[in-house]
Amino acid sequence: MQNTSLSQANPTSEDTSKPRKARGPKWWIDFLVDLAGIYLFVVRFFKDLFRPPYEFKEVLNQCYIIGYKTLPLIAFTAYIGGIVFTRQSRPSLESFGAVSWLPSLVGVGIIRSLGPLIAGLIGAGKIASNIGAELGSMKVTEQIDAMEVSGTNPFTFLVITRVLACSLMLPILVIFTDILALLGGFTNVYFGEGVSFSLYFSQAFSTIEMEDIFASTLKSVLFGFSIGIIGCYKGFTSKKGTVGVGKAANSSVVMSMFMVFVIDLFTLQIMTFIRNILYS
Amino acid sequence: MEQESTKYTKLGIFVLIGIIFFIFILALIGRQNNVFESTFRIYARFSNIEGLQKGSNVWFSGVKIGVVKDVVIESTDAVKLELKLSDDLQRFIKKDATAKIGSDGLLGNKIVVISGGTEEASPVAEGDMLEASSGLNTDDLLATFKITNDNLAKITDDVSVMLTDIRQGKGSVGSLINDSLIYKDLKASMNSANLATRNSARITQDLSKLVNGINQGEGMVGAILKDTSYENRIDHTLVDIEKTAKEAAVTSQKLNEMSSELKSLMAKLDDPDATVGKLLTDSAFAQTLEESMTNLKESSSELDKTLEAAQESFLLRRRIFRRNKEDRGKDK
Repeated sequence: MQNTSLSQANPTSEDTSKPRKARGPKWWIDFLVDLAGIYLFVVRFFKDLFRPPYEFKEVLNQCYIIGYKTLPLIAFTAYIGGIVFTRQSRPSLESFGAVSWLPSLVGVGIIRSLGPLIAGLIGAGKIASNIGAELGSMKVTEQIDAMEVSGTNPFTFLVITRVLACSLMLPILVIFTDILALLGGFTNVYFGEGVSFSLYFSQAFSTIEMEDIFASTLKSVLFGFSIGIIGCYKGFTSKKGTVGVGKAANSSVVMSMFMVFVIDLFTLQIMTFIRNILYS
Repeated sequence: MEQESTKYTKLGIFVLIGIIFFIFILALIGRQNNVFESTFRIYARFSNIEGLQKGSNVWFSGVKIGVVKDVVIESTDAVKLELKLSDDLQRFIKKDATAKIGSDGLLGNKIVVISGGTEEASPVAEGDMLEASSGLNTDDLLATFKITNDNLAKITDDVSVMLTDIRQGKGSVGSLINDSLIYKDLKASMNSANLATRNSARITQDLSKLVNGINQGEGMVGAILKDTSYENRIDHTLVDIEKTAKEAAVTSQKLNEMSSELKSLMAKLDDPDATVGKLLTDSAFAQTLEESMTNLKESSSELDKTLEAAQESFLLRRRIFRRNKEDRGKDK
């Protein structure tokens, strides 16, 4: 039963080993097969999400690895990103005497776009590669098959827990990214213009609205979900051998990063649509 | 391998801090947009809101007190704004306050500025409509800039023409700049002026010396001003002058009297009935008098002849000789 359901959700793991008779370039066929596989993976995720057994402990364990362990890297990157973004924005504002608008610009830039993007990309690099490599090595060493044999649902234990942890931790990581990037911006503005902490944060949030926070949170949940799903899918569908593991990790990162930008654009369009409805 | 409790504690702290940051962000944004404050709503109607949008800030005395909640176009020239303002500040906004569209900087966002209002007026109530005043419209500003630019262009043209004329030596200024003779005259004038200034300086110096001398009591003026003994003399002189003036007044009175007497005398002289008047005015009398004079002259001539004859008579010769001799003796 477990085996059947897994093979349904993961058609490429078994079927791709057989010679295909499809027409067109190979990368195009692979892309379509991946797309279909991910779609079935997502469908199965939502099917199994509310079906027992619930692996709470494993979810917490994954939250610790995905959230807490990723924090130092994301925090450092966000702080530096904030400083660089502020520093690079200053000359443009200086050219028409609007340096006092720097906190507002930094606030809008970080909350709306830069913060989620930094967290998403760093998450894609660290988390997706980690999941892809971990599940890939479990696949090639037949641990997943062993789990099935021992009566544990590998999808629930490995996939749902990781995807859930990613979806829950990414928003928190985005909040940390926003705050630390704003602190980086404050460092630069403080040493540049001597703006006080309270004035900086007051100005930084003066043009931010609730919709921006909603968009940022929605975006980060989708980033986490896509990173988790892609990492798990690539790990689950990795081919035999160590090369397959490396390839799974690599393609997880590449596809996750690509999806981060696609989701960024997607949420932007959704938010523009929502804003138009709200303000019309 | 970390213990599970430590791991979960760290995770818990991580999530807790994340949630605190999230609440901090929400609180900041909420404070900016008055989300968590109790608010009240008032309205303002404008003919043109100049690009103001929902969510734009509302300022009162330079302080942000709320946001524009809604923008409703009511007719072709009326846009109604719904303003959501902080409840705490309701008592400061009076019913006679005005609202206008402003900007939070030269390149800033459009805002609603509430200003004015008298202390006597009562505070605004929920749903009140504020009077809208037209502020400085960007289009008006640009129109004014255009007029200013046009004027500036005209002035520049005029100045250009003027400078060309000056360069070509036209007009007074052109001559002044280009004509060497005028320059020489001007230089000579300046030299004269310099000389006059030096003379003035010298005169001033002399005057200063003179005044110093007077102050020190030198010379007659100095003595008059500084010597106290002159004071008594001047007093006496002034008394004498006063006396003389009084006498002059008496003399003048007498002269007046004499004048009036003379006047009456003259009137008598003019009177043809009076003897003297007749003498002066009556021509018949004058003719008679002339005839009498002629007769007298003739009689005198006759008398002279008679006397000469008498002197030659022996009766009087001796007597006349003696008198002449006595006269000569007196002369000697």
